[in-house]
Amino acid sequence: MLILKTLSLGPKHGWAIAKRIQQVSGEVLQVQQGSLYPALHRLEQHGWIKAKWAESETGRDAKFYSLTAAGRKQLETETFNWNRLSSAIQIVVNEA
Amino acid sequence: MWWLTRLQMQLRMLFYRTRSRRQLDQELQFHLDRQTAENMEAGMNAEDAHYAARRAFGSPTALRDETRSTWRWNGLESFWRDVRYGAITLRRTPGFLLVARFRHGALHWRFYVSFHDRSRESSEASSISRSFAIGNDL
Repeated sequence: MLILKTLSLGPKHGWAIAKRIQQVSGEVLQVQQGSLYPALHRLEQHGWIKAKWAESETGRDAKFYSLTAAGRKQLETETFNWNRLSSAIQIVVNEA
Repeated sequence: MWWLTRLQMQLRMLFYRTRSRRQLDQELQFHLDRQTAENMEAGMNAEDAHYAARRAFGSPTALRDETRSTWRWNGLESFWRDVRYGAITLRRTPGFLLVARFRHGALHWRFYVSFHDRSRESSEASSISRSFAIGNDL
């Protein structure tokens, strides 16, 4: 879901995705950066993201990922479910 | 000249697999290099920057293998899903004949499943045919 959300803002290569997730989470989410790649490849196989090799900001070629229409829909579904889940948990946890 | 087509197919599989593997290595290396560069900009020396990037990344070998396995596993997963779906359809509709044909290639399998409605006498039997391809990679 985090990957899909990050890509909803525009195409990125793997390293940029990792950096963005780290930044936005306020450095709270410390994930093993490399685990992004099996996830990215799986998402691509599901058809939710697509990849293209292009020149990066450093001049070297990099694999850029972007959200597909199906991916956008998947993101909506997952965000909805996540919000529902987290509000339910919040109610339980904050119960006096 | 079926063997020529088969050879072409096998070569293509081999070609794509090699290219995919090369591209994956390139992808992971790009990430490591960018992280190393960022570490150096933050003031680390080359050696420390390199090791810090590697530590933050995880084991490139393990991750590379895990990524490659997603190519293989996904094909298998969707294959079994289709077989299960086919079996459920069969159970629900009596009189259907399941015809399965195997064609075995060294690297490439094709599993044809076609459903023929036996209860119909008409010359056009309703048929649903699906083909499942399992490659041993990709």
